[in-house]
Amino acid sequence: MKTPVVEIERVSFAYDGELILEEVSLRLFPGDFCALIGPNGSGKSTLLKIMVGLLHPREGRVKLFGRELAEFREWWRIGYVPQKVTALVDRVLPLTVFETVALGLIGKPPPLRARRKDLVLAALERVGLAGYAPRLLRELSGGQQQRVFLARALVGDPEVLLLDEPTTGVDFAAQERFYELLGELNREGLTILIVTHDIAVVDRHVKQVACLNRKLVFHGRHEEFCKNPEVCGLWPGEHHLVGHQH
Amino acid sequence: MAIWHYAFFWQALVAGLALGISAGPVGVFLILRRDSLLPHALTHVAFTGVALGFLLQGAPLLLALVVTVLSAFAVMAIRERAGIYEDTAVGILAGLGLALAVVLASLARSYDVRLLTYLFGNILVVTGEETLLALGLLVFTLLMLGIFGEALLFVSFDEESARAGGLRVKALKLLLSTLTALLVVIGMRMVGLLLISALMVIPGAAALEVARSFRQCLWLAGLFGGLSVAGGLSASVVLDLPPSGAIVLFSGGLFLLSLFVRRVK
Repeated sequence: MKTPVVEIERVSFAYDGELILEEVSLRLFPGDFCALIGPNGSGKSTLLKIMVGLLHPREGRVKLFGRELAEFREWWRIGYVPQKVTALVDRVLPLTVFETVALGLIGKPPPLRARRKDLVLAALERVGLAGYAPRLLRELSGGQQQRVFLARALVGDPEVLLLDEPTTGVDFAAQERFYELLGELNREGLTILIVTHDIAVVDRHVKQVACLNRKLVFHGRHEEFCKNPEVCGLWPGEHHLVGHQH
Repeated sequence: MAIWHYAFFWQALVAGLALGISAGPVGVFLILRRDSLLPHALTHVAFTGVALGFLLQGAPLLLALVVTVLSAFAVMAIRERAGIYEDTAVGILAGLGLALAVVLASLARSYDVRLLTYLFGNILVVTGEETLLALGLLVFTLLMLGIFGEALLFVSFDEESARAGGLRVKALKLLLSTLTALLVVIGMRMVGLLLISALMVIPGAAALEVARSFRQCLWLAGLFGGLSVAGGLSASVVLDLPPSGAIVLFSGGLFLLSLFVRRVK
């Protein structure tokens, strides 16, 4: 059996005494493309932050590539795209697209850093932004900025990509292109976990769904999720899901 | 004889250039971290160190250095653990620092011209040792920014991703705080405690206005810092003005110019 890329075991987390996550267990295997969904305040982003060590669980354990989180040092194996990245870009900072993507190579092994220029340009080409390297990040559209941050996460050639509501504040057409790109990356072998509150994403793009509402209420294939009235009831009236075949 | 025939003028220029070139790029990182007021608060604390030096009849510069570096670390710890707004921590530090300095200076009975030299500075009386210290600071700053500049940018721009990428964020913040404290203490004799924070922030702000990349921004900040010192010092000599005020006013002129350049571009 393959070693899980991410293994969450009975994780609980409380913030100011309020329980945000309760005994959540979740495994992500190589090649998975999973959406972590749930209503606002369900603990999705909290769980993702626990996975990358930004928050520490009150109880439970987290393993990355078979290693306890506290002992894990091979961070180049993980690509991370935080929430609301477009909000990070302001009119003051004169950061070029090249410089932004190159940040993803900091702390990576020396052989990778030695190929800095080639890797950055390749990552930009991969996300459809070849030729944008000298442009200022602040001069790009929200959708393009989104793809620059995706390139930053990809530049170190990670094995798993973790994204926290990456398309917030981006128009629908740009969102669709973004998810199509994620689908391509997944088909090339990249493991992906994406946090979203938009269940329409589940319908159109991912293979698996993990649904969180403080506890993990569902984890399985997308088709099964679409037929499950209990979990769909968490979004009353918002969407009507229709299953499709990948 | 014109002032530039005197060795002390050139010594002042060398020390000032070293300070200005160091201060500009460090200021850029402080601005990006919304931390422009940190050097201002640290100047108040450095004043405490100076007053303590007078009270103990020790070395004011050394004591100011120790107190300022420790305070910079303390601000960081308070922000992370006490759960208060960042500017509140800075405000508290500035107030307490100045209050303690006033009390210590009173106890040391040192309300005299010696204190004024630290408050307003005078680059023209900078010593050979202080010039060497400023040159050492320049080398140290350039070395640190050369090695850790990109990581500092990552932390300043997107701390969450930097943490998720396994960067030692706390160590990088400590480095920035240490560089800030060193600049404050070494700069206080040259441009004075009341104006050193301006020399750190204004050239960086000007560079951010006109730069077309972050790398270019750091170089421009150093250039603007150096130009501020050279221009201000020259203006002070020609127009018989206090050097520290002229230096900071010159940097203010550069900032206005940079705003204009950005508007017309």
